Amino acid sequence: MTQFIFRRLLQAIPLLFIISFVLFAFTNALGDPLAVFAESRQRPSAAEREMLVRRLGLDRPIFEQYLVWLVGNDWMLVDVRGDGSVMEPGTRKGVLRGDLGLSFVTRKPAWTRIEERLPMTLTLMVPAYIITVVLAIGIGVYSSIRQYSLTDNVITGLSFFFYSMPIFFIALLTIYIFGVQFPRWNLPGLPIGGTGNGSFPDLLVHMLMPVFCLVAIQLAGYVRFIRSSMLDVLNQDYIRTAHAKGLSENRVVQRHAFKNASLPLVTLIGLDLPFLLAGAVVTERIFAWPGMGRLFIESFERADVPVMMAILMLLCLLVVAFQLLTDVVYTWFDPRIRY
Amino acid sequence: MNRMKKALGLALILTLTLVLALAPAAAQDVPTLTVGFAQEPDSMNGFYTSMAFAQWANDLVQASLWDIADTLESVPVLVDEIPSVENGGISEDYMTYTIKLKPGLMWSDGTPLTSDDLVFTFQMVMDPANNMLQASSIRDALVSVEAVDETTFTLTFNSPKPFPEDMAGSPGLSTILPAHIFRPVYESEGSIEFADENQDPTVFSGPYVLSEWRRGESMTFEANPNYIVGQPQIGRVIIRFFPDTDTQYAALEAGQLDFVPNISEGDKPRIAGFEGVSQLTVFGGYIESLWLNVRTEEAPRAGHPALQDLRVRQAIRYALNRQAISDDLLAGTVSPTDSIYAGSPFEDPNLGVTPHDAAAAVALLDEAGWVDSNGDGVRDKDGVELMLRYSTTNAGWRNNIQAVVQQQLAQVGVGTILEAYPASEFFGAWANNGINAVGEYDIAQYANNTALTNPANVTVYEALNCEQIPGESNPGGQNFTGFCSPEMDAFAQTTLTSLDAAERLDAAYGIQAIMKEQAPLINLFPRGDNYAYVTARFAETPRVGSGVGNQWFDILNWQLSG
Repeated sequence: MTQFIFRRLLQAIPLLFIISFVLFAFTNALGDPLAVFAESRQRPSAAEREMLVRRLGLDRPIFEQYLVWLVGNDWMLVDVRGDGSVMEPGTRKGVLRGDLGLSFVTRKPAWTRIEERLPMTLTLMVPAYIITVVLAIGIGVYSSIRQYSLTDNVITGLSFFFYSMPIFFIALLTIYIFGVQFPRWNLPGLPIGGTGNGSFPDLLVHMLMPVFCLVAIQLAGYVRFIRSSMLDVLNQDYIRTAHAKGLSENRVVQRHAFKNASLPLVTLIGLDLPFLLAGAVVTERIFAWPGMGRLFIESFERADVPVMMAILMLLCLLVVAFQLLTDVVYTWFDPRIRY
Repeated sequence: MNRMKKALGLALILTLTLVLALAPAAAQDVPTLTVGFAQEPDSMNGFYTSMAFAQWANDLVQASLWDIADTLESVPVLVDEIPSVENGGISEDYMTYTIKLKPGLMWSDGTPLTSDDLVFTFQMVMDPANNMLQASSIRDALVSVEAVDETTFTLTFNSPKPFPEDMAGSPGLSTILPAHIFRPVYESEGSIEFADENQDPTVFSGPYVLSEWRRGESMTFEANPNYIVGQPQIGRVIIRFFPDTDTQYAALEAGQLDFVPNISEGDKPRIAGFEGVSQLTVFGGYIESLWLNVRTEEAPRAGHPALQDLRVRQAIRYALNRQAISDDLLAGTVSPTDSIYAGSPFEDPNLGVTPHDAAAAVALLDEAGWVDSNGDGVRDKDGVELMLRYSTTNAGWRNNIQAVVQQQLAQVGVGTILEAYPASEFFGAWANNGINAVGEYDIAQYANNTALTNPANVTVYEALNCEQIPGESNPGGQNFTGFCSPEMDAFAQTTLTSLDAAERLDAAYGIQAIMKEQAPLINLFPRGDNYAYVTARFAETPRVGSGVGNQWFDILNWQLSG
């Protein structure tokens, strides 16, 4: 097992380098970080914009910019003021030495911006995901053992109904009904946007609508997945044998069917977990939730390459790590698997 | 049974939690104004941001020497008297200002605010090590700044500066740095660019102090007890950030926001339908325009050859029914204009507005030789179709205007290909292949600055200047249309430097006449700064400053009802 983990980690290194370069090239092609000045009232002069470009190193070839992002620029002379008057060694250490760069927007370390947003993303995404998985397991299992029953058909119909709804639509509809219309009907309206005044009860209330939307959208896929996986297992010979041995329905489903049906679910969860940290771009934006998804979009709009790259590389690392973890967890679910 | 009890208990706890949370919040201890911002400020140091929302947040906590009111008049704030030649504050040659602060001014931490803070601020502006984005006009002009006594300082410039508002006071210098906070940083690091105070300010000169900034969520401001100019009647201002305008408007409609700035023209009709919500508009300083690409250099791209012909440009203006755009898309809230000074005191009242006249457009196009020879509905000449690339940002209201303009131009046989880009791509620099910069358009729609408090108009002296046409040898050029009129450049220079107000005004009128005649861009309508507020929350209509200066200039007098 240790050898397996070590081998996988070694394999990940070149992969991450390749991904990082591709992402760097893409994010740099997204636009001009200085375009934000175009319609501003007191825009810097053309000469000052040029100085800024040189100071940020944006005038350098993309390979050189990537190299600086990777290993820093403290080994080379940089144009500190952008006018060639002061050439000094740079101050950046590069990603390989833990320096993700400074945000073009706030001039704070990119990691600081992530630190500000990560807790709120997890606060929203983790409960939504747990609720989704728990509900999906309950509904999916029930739906599989009552196949083609009225309940199964209703659940299937509802699943597809929510699955086919775009998240922005369900989110805006929720806001309109619970936030705008409820007070008009003399019902307690839900607060629109944000995370509340900092108290835990207020946070819970502010979470209601976004969590509902996230669960509603994600639930259908999981329910269908679990149902299908359970149906495969329930038709296996060993399930028939378990029934023949006189085991109760619950015991057959819980101990024999569900455990074996869980293996593909583990893969799915392993794939999804890293993205909990990425946040939900649309949900966070619509509900004004200060999370990572919104940070990514805000950085995208301002072409804030260091922050975008920090978020993307964090995700890449997590995907690699969680895939490895998933493989390890397989051995627990299925003792036949050996590495 | 036990399981049932547990479930019931859990349900009870959850219900109680919800009821507690949903219960009406305790009455606010101080009158609180809740404001919705579409963007979060990127810096709380006005010298390091070009974002309007950041400037607005700064204006709550940083007082200027003087402000510009909604009437575009200067209003003293930290000074008793705005310097002028008449009161001796400006020398006869307009090269030296002497500015006197009110006595007894204090920072929010109780430290005296003196001329030393102003001298330090101007010194920071002048030092290139600080890499400030703003105040370049001051940096380029200032020779020296000196303290005369605790409340008096002088500014000396390298040439006559007839517009004091460009150099001091809002909007020229809307940030005063607390020397006792920034000086130690400057002395130890050689620059204040990365000072913590820029992002997490602790000391303030304005009517409020920033008491809490929850990143991505909100900013809370409390009245500054050491602001001797006056105490606001609204004790607390909370700014909440709503990146999605639909959500923001829902919160406004539900009464969860009191005041929302930066309403786009396209959203005004929608907000007009909200019960109990009022809107107000003040001079914005922008004109939404169609910029025509008359560049001739093939590399990287010249504009459509038809646009070289003045008659075609004029025909396009005749073909546009700008009043219909206003009526159909913007609820008639804006009016067409041909003046690049629209809405400012320097607008030529006799300039007139080109009417919608499709017949005149057709006649001009025919005369220019652009006719539909192949019967495809689009005019052509020498085998070239009159098909124009019409680009703008991906703002929804702009894209709606694109669609209407496309129909109007089609009626006179001018075809258009509509293109929309993210702002970072549309406004990108030459090096980034920005759509505007490299001329990848024939018609580009975006806002130009109109004149502010003086007739020197940045659109004219920069974005339409002959020397600013971008190219391989001038990649930083800002004249993306490629239009060049030496006569207009001379007028622009006069607006910048003449000490004779009448001469400056004449030059502004001259510019307007050339612009109307030559039509390098077609003004659609002046864009105001639009605000929406919950009517019942305010004791009376709030006075909001123009976008030129400080929107909160009158906040000391704002009063909430109830």
